[in-house]
Amino acid sequence: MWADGVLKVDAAYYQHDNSYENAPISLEARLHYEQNWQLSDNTALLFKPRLGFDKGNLYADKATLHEKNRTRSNFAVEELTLTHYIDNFELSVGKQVFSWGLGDMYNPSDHLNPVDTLDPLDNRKLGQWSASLLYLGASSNLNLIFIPRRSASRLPEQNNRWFRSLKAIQTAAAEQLGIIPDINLSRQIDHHHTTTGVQVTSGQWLPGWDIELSYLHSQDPVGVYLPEVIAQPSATQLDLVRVFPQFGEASVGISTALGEYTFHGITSYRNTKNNLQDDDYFTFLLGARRTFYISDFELPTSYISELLQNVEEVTLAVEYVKEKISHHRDPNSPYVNSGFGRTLPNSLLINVEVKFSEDTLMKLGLVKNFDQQDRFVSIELGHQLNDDFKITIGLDLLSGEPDSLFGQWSSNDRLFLSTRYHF
Amino acid sequence: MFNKPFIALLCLSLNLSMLSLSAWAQTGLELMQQYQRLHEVDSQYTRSSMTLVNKKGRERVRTMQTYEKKSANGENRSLLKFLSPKKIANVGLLTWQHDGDTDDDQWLYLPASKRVKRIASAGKKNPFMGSDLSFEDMQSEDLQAHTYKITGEEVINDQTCWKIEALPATQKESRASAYGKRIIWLRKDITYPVKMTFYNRRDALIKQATYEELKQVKGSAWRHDKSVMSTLKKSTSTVVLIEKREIGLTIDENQFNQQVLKRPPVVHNL
Repeated sequence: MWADGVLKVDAAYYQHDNSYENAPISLEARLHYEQNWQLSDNTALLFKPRLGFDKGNLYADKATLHEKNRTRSNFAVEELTLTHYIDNFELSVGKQVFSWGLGDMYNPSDHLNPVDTLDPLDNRKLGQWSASLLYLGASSNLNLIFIPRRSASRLPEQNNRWFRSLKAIQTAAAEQLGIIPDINLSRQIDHHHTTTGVQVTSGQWLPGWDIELSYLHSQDPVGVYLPEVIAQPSATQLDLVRVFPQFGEASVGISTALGEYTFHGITSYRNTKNNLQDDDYFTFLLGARRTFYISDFELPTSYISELLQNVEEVTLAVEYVKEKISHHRDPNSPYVNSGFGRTLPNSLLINVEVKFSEDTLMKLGLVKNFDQQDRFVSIELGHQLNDDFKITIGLDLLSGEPDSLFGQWSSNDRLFLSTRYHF
Repeated sequence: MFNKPFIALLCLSLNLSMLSLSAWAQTGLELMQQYQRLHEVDSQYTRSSMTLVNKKGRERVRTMQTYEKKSANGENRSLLKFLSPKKIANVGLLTWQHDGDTDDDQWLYLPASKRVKRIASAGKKNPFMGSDLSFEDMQSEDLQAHTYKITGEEVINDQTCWKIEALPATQKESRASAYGKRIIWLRKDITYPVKMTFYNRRDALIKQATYEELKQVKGSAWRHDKSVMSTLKKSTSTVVLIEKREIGLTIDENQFNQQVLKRPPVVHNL
């Protein structure tokens, strides 16, 4: 039996008022637990429940086994998986979280699980009831995944400070209707189609290279909106019905190490079944990572070198992402994007980790969207008080034009304090 | 030969050991070859603790388990999983060690992201998980990359030892290694290392290791159950104690696989 528990308490202070949620301080506590049982020589069971509370609007449901609800549940089973090993096969059945892709920060092929974006800077995958069959071959591995009924990603709603403004849609509708309609987001077309995925990975086809090929057939968990005008006696209402387009997505990823560097590249192509609903597009990603060990460098005597004496290592990771549309959505399409999918159309991602000691680590993160010139900067300093207890303070800064991804949240700059206790 | 990729870690191995010095074993290289031939095993499992002691005497303990196997092409493969403390439990490291000039393949599994990442193995002189061990300390002795010279005899703990000087023999090794020179003390009776000192490129002594609690584990193969590596300038040390060892396990080579690295350490069905 192997177990791991962690209690997380996160608090944030928002400097600015927000028109959707005017609460300057947020507080969330989560208790995660993970238990692994070895039931026999070839069978293992994973149970990963979570308890969570906050003083805001993130949690509204008491308990859930299926992550279908729009808000978080106080009690949820994040994963519950029975795995059986037979020779070179591994069969896993239950509620699972998958990770595909060779990227460091962003993976354009990693769309098996929907995500909880109620706090989009801390989004988390939602476990799905599924079956996974893994074959370990001599030179490659094959993974088949089947999700009979996948749930949708959680998007912030109008009581959440991360709600994405729909003013553009409202204004367009007002021009047609002659009055400004009320927005209603309560309707959505549930997923009806199964999700199937196949992935082949190999570290041996090309010596020194990792290769990953994958194909996914599914419905987009974020989805698009279909506006419908509902005339009421007192006012006109614009229902934005959430629809989840079917798509097929093929991806190729490669990764290698050259000297002190690792490099990776991923290309994926998504073909949306109904071109009324969304574009068909490629995503290209290139990335590199290197760890600099300060003791390797003979630094000239200077103020900077004095500072660097306190640093053990610095890890730099960089990724560039570019989206290329091959087939635009029908120009007469009534569907509009929700704003939470395809968020990195032409973007640079940088992550720097400065390790002062085994106990103290500083992280700097940057996401820059070149098309809309908006950006997200994150700075955090974590200190391990002992093997079990860690405290982190940090700052998230968002900026850009009001209609850009990060710019719309410029009032959500925040100072945060996070504690982790392992038991 | 199988001896080490992470054996070393567990054993802090550096599995140097050799036959009792017979008359024909006259050069350092011949002794090292003899050592490798005598002490190799096909596969090994170890569970060990690694205690990091800082200059103030504060101790931090990590426990881990490692599977190792000599692959069909004669190269070593190892799969290491941390068991504790909780903050690093289930972190895994997979290594395919290659002979000659080819860089090793290494992958790291971080449970929080459920993702296996290839890591650059070129930084082999860098410290492993904050310990006094570097990645190169945990790898098997590459006889092609070093020259060995017997420089004398010395008695350590009442045992007569050969004293062997090991120097990088290739430009690549000179660049990649933190050590300009190592001195290895091999017990004459069992041809197994009991002490090693490490010098930087300016010939200054930087680290020292001792290997204790030696045991004959199978046939002519010996291993140590305790090792202590000290970094002199930092006044830190790392003590590795073997808690459990199994030699000659039946392990399928396919199990030294990036996907298997994701399994929790509870699964011992390799």
